[in-house]
Amino acid sequence: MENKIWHGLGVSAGHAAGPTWYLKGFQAEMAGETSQGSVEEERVRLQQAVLRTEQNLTGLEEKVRAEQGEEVAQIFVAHKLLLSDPSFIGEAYQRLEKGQLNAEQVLQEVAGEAVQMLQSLEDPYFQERAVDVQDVLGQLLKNLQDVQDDVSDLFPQSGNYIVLADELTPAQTIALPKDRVLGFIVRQGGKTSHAAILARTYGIPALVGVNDGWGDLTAQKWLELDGEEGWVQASAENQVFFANTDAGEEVIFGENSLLQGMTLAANIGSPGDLPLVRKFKAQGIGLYRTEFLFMGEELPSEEDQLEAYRQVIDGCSPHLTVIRTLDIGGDKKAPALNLPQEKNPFLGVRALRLTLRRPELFRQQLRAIWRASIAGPTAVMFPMIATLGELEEAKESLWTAREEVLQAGYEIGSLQVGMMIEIPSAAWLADKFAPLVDFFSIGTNDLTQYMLAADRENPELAELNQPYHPAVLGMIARVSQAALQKGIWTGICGEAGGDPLLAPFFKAVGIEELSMAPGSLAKVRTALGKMEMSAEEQETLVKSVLACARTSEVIKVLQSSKTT
Amino acid sequence: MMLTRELTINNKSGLHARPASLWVQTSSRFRSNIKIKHGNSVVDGKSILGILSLGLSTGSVFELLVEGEDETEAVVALEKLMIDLESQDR
Repeated sequence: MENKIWHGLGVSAGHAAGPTWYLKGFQAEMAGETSQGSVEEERVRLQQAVLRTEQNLTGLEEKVRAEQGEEVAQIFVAHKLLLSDPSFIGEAYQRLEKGQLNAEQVLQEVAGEAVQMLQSLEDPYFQERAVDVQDVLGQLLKNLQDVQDDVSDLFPQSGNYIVLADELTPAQTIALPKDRVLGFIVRQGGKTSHAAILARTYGIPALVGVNDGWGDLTAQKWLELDGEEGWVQASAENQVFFANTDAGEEVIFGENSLLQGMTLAANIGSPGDLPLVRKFKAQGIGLYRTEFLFMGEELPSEEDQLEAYRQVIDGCSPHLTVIRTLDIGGDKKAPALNLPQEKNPFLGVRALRLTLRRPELFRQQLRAIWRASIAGPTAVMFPMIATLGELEEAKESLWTAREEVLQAGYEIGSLQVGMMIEIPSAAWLADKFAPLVDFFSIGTNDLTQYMLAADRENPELAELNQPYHPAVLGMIARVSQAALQKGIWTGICGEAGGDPLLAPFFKAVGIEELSMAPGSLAKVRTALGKMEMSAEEQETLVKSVLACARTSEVIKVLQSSKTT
Repeated sequence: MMLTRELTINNKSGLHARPASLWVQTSSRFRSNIKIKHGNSVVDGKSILGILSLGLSTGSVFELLVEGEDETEAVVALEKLMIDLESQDR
């Protein structure tokens, strides 16, 4: 066999070989073939498509922010801005009014003009934003025509593959089961394309801009690629391997380091994230967000949930998996749940407030968790608790669900029962809550926004929304103290959990588990592993932090403790 | 009355996707009519496509035109954003 080589831009280091899977670009039914309704009908169709696309994007944004961080989440923020852009969607509505084109046609027209405009710009970075317009257009068209071509359904059910794609949108990249993707080869795109950024966050070798000989390449059944040197070649059949270069070396830290007695765990959103948990050597899952199961068009059945939970618990065993019950409502949308619009979503019927109002939905999830608990160490955790009554009610549902599962003849394991501490009232009464649970998990993002009364979605208030505020850290210390006195453990599962600057403080106030985006584990492990502090030194650190009156002072204290 | 300001892009990457997206998020909070003038082009300051179409890079100078009930607040917020973007580079 002739050993042909194709070249492209290597954007994510690593070396892999295996069978190929080709993802063809989305071809919308061309305008003209679709029917044309009245102006009013077309307007309503467009409105609904925009709304649904926006909901999908919000779901993706939340998921990605939690797992890959702000940089990647901003991709979806920008996509949402396109949906409210007067010169894009606004223009589309205006052209609809003329009554000559249907919704598909006007969208294709305005998007086509935007793509042309962007591609005519000099800076390649701006040129690449044309992909964003095409991505949003593709989603809008799919929603207009009710096309269901979820990438995760098209991808083969088993086996590992090198993915070939004409174009890879962020939404597609995220939907793929990354544990079974050996590499990405994308025809379009450059170093700053979204596919490149995402491939790097997932540690998957990738090559972009492979235009020459593309047709020939997509005909190959087996390939080998190098994401650093930027080449791909035909490979022998049945040769499968995968090696990425950034998994990090094993470092052994001293016995007296702050790592002792601290569990470093991962936050995840689906079983598809398990490879990241393994790759970054998490010692458990401190937060499994279950809401993504509920964000689709249809609600998951008990069996669907069981399957997802079991996979996660089994994949994480022998370490503990903490499953958080549905945290939806307000900013996180779930079309299938038909939630009313609220004026202040963050202060509205969200999370446990919602599930307590929908007992059937709640008990179904709790039954699935009980049934999954035989797969390994499992904990259940309730979000958004403000009062003791709410916790008692939630626990009652948990016991009822247990009875139901036993009566149905299923086996169950044991569950640790915990609660999130994110509302100031619950934090303040931590000593009253502690006897009723096995652990606390502090959600620092919400605790901060509620303590400082600052909407965390409002960029103007980003400066206020800092967990370094002495009142927030003082509250966390107080919660941890209360937990220690009652003999239960406390973890942190907000963004602050992945902050190396705060880690020594958390250790010093008695926090026993930090749970974070998998990508943050290495830096927090290193930060704690390199530090040795006696009990007295830790006490001094806590005292000096809690003596501060300003966020800036706290940051100074934390920084100076790092260098000593 | 219309408020105008001449602003210079001082941050490293120009008005790329993230800065442009922050700009639109900020300007969209105001009711005022917000326009950006660069060379012969005038675009809607609440439109991400409009802003990207200007291809503003480091050193670009543009004129900000704001008119409406909350024009003063809008100008202050947008000027502050430009300073924040610059300081994030450091």
